[in-house]
Amino acid sequence: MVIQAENLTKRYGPTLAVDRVSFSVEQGEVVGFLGPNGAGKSTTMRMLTCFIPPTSGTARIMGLDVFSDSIEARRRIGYMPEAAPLYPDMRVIEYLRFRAAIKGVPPRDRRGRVAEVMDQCGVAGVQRKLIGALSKGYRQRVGLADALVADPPLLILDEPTIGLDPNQIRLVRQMIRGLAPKRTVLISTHILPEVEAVCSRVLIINRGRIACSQSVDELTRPAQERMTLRLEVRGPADAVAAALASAPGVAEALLESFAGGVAAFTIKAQPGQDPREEISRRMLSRTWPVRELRACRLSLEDIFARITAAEVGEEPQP
Amino acid sequence: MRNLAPLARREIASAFFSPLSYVVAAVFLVLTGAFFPYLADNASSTSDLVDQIWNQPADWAAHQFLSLVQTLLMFAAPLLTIRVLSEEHRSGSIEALLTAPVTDAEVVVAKWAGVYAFFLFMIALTGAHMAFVFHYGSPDAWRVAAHYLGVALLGAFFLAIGVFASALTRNAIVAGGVALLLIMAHSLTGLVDYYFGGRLGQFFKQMAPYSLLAQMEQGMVTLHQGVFFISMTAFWLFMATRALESRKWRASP
Repeated sequence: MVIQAENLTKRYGPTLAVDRVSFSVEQGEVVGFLGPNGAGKSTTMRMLTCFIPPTSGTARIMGLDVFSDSIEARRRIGYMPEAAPLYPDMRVIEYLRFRAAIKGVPPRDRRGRVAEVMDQCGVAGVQRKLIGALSKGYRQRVGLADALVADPPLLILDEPTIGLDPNQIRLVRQMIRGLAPKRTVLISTHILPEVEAVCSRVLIINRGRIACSQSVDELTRPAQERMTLRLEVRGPADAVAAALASAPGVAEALLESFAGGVAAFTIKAQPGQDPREEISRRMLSRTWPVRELRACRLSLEDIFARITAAEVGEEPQP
Repeated sequence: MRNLAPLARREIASAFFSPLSYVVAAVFLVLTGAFFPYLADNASSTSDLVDQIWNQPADWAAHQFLSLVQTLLMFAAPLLTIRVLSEEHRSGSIEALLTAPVTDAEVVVAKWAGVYAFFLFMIALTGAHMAFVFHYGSPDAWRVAAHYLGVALLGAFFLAIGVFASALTRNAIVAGGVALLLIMAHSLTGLVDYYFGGRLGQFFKQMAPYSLLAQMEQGMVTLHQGVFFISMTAFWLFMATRALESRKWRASP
């Protein structure tokens, strides 16, 4: 168990920022930490990285308590705070060497480690530049290089792709995916495609509570109890609709569009039924060419909206 | 204190890189430089006073000059320390710093060491003025050295107060104001004796940095002064560590 949080609670005066959050993260997982703004993501991360102590509850990093064994726990974490605040008056290479030194990288390994992470994060080309003169994308990558420099087993990244352009986002995601087998990663974001792209599991936090903890696959797998299908077929819309409606297992066929002789339908199956093969047979028997027939995966966005909206105005469940 | 060396190296570099440091040093040197000929002239014309307390005009010139230096410190110290921690709070880099495996105390001592190194550099530049005094007169070198030692100790103390004030807030102006206020309060403790007298007055007189310096100016260097300045420096650095730790229980993120 790399991270184990039990009833983690943070109270800022009368405000309950994080409320009895419990979760664990296993070795090698890449966990996406999702939630609306102000849900308690950053506060939770700050407690895990020993920046602020929890009001109550405990968190362990590889068995080390973040409060009583703080320094040892910190040695095992590479943390990139939100927006990667760095020292603008240092050169990239100086900064990374400084960070390597305070993170306890032995002097003889520092040069090598710093060169390695600069290559890995694509900042070797700007190593002599002052951090203050770098673009946001480069600064973000220097922050990531800093998180990696001491080769920690756990990486905690708070919104690592915020403010980057699409190409840079792709690079950062590739990098994070590349880290996965050796390291454990907890990454917070509210960009949902990012989670689908890099994470194996999601933790959704809403109003200070964990609202959901599931693998991305489980979460977005087509809902088995009631499938939703999408069909695009070239043929007369009315006749196709009739053929669909009469097919066994189909509860409802809704014409979405009809243009250029192509009809698009959204089909709801009856509970427990999979009418895909029957539909395909019926279309072919009437020689209506099928352009598309697929089971819709639930989008993470829908799930996120459902989970985070459901709790608004309700008391959090104990 | 294992991480102190790399932290202090970075802070020293930062202090020497900061434009603010050089602005403070420039103002300090312009003021001392502008007053220096006046003080030197004055020393050679007020021979009565010179004969009574100081052996010769050069001694008096050196004394007057270093008194000016120590007075200016009251304003230079808050300016030198104004940004050290408040800037980290403002930019958020404090989070990266304190989630590294370093202790709050290491960070505070390193911050202080950085500004103290620059402070010593700034004071060393007044050696140019002193060279004139030594060239045109022959002041008591021991007295001058003792006075410099006093200035160095006073600087350590005032800068520790400045680091404390900077740890309190993300607003550099507030940090500077608080530092100035605390330094003034310490500097004026000698007045308690003047206004109220008695044992309380005596107590505060022993705690007044400028009256301790007055002894050192005359070449009287005692353990008392060293203990006072070093323990006051340690006390304010300790307070700065506590202020930095306040993030742990403050009611705001």
